[in-house]
Amino acid sequence: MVAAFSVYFDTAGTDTSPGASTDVDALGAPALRFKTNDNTTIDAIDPVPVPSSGTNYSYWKQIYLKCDTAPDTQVDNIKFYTDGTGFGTGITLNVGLQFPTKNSGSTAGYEVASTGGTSGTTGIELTAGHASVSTVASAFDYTSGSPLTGPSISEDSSIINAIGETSDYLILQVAVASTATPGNKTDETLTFQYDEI
Amino acid sequence: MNFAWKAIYSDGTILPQYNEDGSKNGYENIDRTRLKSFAIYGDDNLTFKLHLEPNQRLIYRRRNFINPNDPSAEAMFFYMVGWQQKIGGTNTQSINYVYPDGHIEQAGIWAGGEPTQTAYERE
Repeated sequence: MVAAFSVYFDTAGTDTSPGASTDVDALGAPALRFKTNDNTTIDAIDPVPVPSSGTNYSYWKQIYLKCDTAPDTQVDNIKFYTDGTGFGTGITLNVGLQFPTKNSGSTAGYEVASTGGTSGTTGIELTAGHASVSTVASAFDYTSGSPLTGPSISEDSSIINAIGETSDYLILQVAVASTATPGNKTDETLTFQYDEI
Repeated sequence: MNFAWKAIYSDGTILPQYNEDGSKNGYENIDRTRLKSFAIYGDDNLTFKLHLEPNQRLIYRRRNFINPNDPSAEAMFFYMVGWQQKIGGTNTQSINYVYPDGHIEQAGIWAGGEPTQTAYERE
C-alpha cells in the first residue's frame, strides 16, 4: 500500500500540550496563513503590520506530517523546500533549523506561539521565544535542488511505518521589516518531500 | 495507475511486491545475493526494468511530494530505481526517475538529495 500523509499544525494550549491539532485538508488553500493570532482561521484578522522601524513577526506555525495510510516498509528522509520566489522586499519566511520533538506519543517540543506576543502587532522572534530552536534561515533559500533536510522523525528507528506516526515539528515564522509594503501577499508554494519503500 | 515492483532472481524465480492472494513482500525481504533484475509495473504492465551486474547494489524509493499550503493540489511522486557501486574506491551510481506518466529520466545524482540507505542496501 502506498503511504498517505496529511499536513497538520498545532495551536493554542500550553507548552508541550497543544490545544488543537488541525489537518490542513480541512482548511483548503491557502491552508497556512501567517498572522498574529494563534488560531487556525484563514482570515485577514490580526495581520502582521509593517513596523515603522525594526521587525514585526507572525506567530510561529508548528507543522508536521501525520501518517494516514501506513507504507509497506517505511518512510524516511523528509525534506522541505519552497519555490524560492519569496514574498517581496522586507518580508522573510524563516524556518527553524532545529525540529522540536513531535511523535505519536509526545508533543514535548511544542511551545505556545502567542507567549510574549501581542495580537495585531507582533509575535516573539522564533529563536528568542522557542526553547528548542536556536537558529533560523530563510525558507526561500531552500529549493527543490537544495532542500532542507528535515523535519526529523523521532518515532522508533527514526522512521514512520504506522498510521498515526508523525514527523517532528517544522516551524515557520514570517518576519516583516519596515521596508515591506502592506497588503495580502501572493500565495507561495511550500513542499514536503519524503522517501518511501 | 497503481505501481508495484518485482524482484527477478538469477534462477528465474520472482518475488513480487504483492502476491496474488493479496499479501505483500517487503523491499527488505529481497535476497540481494540472487537479484538479477528489478522491474516496475504500472497496472500490471512493465514500465521499467533494471538489469544488475555483479557488485551493483539496488536502490529503490518512491519519492513523494506534498504542498502543505494547498492540500487540494494533486500529489506528485516518482520512483527512483538505480544502482550504486564502488569502482576504484569511488561511489558510482546511476538513477532512473520513473514518472507516473510513463516517462523516464536518468541521472548520476539523486535529485533532491540522496536517500537514507538501509542496512540491507549497504555493502
